[in-house]
Amino acid sequence: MPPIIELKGLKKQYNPPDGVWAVKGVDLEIEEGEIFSFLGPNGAGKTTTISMISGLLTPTDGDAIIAGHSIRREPMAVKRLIGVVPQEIALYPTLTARQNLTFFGQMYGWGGRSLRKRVDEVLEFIGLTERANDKVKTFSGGMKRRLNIGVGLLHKPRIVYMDEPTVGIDPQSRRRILDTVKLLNEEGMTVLYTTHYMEEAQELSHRVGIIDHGVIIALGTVGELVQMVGEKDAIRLTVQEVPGNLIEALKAIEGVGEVTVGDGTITVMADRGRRALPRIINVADDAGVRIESVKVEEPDLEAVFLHLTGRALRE
Amino acid sequence: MRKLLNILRKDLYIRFTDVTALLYMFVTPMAVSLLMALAFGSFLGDGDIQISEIPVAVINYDEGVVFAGATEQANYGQQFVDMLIGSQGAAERGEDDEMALFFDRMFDPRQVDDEESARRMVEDGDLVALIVFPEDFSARVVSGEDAGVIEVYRSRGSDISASIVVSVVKGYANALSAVTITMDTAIPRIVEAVIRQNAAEGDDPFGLFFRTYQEVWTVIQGLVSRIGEIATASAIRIEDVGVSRGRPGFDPMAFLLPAMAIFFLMFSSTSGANSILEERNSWTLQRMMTTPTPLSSILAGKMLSVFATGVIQMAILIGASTLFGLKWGGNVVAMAVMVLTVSAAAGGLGAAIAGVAGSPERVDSYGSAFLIILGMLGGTFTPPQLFPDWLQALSKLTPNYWGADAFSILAHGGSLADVTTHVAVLLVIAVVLFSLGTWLLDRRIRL
Ligand SMILES: Nc1ncnc2c1ncn2[C@@H]1O[C@H](COP(=O)(O)OP(=O)(O)OP(=O)(O)O)[C@@H](O)[C@H]1O
Ligand SMILES: [Mg+2]
Repeated sequence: MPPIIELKGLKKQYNPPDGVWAVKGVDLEIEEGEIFSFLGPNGAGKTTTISMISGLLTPTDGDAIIAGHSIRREPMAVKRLIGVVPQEIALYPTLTARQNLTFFGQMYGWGGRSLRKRVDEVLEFIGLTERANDKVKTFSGGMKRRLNIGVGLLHKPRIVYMDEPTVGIDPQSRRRILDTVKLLNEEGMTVLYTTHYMEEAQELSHRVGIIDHGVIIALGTVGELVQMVGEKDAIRLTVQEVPGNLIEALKAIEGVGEVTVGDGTITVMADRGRRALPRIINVADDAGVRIESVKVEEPDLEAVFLHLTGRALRE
Repeated sequence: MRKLLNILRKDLYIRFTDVTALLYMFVTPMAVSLLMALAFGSFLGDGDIQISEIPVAVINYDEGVVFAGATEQANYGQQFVDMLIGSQGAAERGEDDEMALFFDRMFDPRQVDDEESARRMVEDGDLVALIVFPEDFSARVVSGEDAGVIEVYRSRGSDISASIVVSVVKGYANALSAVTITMDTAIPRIVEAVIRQNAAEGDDPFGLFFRTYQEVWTVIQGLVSRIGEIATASAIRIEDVGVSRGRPGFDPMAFLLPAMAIFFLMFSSTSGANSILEERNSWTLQRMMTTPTPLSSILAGKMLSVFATGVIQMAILIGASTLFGLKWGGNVVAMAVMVLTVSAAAGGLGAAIAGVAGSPERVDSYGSAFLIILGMLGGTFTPPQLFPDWLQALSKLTPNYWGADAFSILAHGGSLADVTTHVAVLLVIAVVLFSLGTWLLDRRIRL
């Protein structure tokens, strides 16, 4: 079976000829039934890529074939197959949940009783039946997010793109949305998901593409990606201040790889971290640093990103 | 095609459930025209753009009062008369007292004894108002009961001039009463406007134009504050007499409301076209674009909404003002044609403004400024007949002029044949600007 989504050398430059190259050449194949995640920091090019394969932006170069249709040559055929959940809450605040769903349903060519029935189904699915006739502007952030997703599912698409669907909401709503994604996938939907939360990518995805500065820098299952880091553990120290010479001293310890400093934390990548831990604490002590807490973490996607770029996923 | 109608229905629903938008679309144009009509009623009636040399008469019956312990008599009625009459010629004498200069410029006063004949002159329209100070005026002021009753007997035909007289009298009464008076802000405003006018002197056409404009607004402010005062001021009694001195058969509202309606129509069309840019910012536009709907249909749907909103707005304004007694002329077909063409031109203008501006913020700032200038040029605030020739020529480049002129022709009994040029000009404007606007918007959206 050919892949359901195929990106071929996709590139995008905003405001040519001098503008930013937001996407610098992405090749990717996604199989039907997969949950695939783009994991990358702000400005990595996730939204730009999604916009190109949704037919919102014309690629500067390259093409995408969605279920056999070229996004360049047959955009309407592609649009019938895909559901898009934008990063922004793309809803009319003065319309009710039902009116929003109905309007966009009509834009997909639905109407009459079948649309009414489908709107009810979707409201039920996203748990907003009781608020169906309330204006969207009266909704909480989590409810808006859910409706934002609901609109993307309305026409029963084969493929759904979700661009950071959990930004800025409480843990409970996020849990609900992640479960929704899994449920949709179990029903056979192919999901292209973007996030900068590595926990989400890790939990949901069959495969993850780590994207940075407009290119995919690593691609594979979570297990495959983590192996790239080797046997390294991430040791996270919470400290009050970081003297300048501490980083160098830590790096000098045998078995320690990258050391990065975030907001009040130092992350030390070390082979078999637990063994290096006493030495690390000694060095910190010598430098006169007060350690408030220590956490040793198994390698995760965060560590992979750090390993590949020397930066934390979220600064 | 069905999707066009979906967009139309959605946009109309959103707009007509938006209370602020409705206020701007319907209430503001009516209110402003009404105030302007009051103002222009006297302008046109006097055949004069500037308010000055208002003929007033004053009778002073005040017997004055002697304060306890004082030898000199105080006569506040006489004081007012002296101020008013004494101010005459202040400009020639080179005085720099602002109040005296204002009185000198504004009034042509005379002190009279014969109340009967003065009243007749007001009734005949030879005097704008007669001010009467009663015998016990000063006595009452001093006793502090109230500021004393001053009677103003005014001609109904010259609302604006008469209201200036009333304002001045009121201001005087208020100044006399010890109570802190917040109500009469009209005088300082008028004085301020006069000063600004003096600064803008040198009779270049632009100066004239802006002075007229300022004066009208100042006067409107005065009127507004007058409405606010009715509840609080009891110090003077006003009597309206006489008949309208307006040109027979001429109704200033018939000229003003169309111009004002078109002016506000352009604002709502521009804000309608602007909603395309707003929808791009809120991503609902992109969401529409991810549905299998060509961008051209989406834009066409939005433009259809702008046009339909304009037609509805004009139709309702015309309908409502007819209920208030305004005559638009009986030619229903011609009116319908004008409503359609004016809405099309306004829609095109809105699209072009949104397309050129490119962002909602720029539409709100530069777009509104442009519409106000267009409105001023097009004769929304000043009848273009009062413009100098070159400005009249410029005026003919605005859709405002062609629309308002056509409605005015119809109101005075014209038929469709009399406004074919207007219709043609407006349609050309509509087509050109719609094409330009949608082309620009399309380019801005398609990245
Ligand atoms: N309309 C635009 N015009 C110009 N540059 C843009 C535009 N949209 C995005 N960019 C730039 O392109 C780059 C990629 O942006 P993009 O929105 O695709 O990133 P992202 O991975 O979705 O980030 P985030 O996690 O913040 O949503 C950034 O440098 C951004 O500034
Ligand atoms: Mg993004």
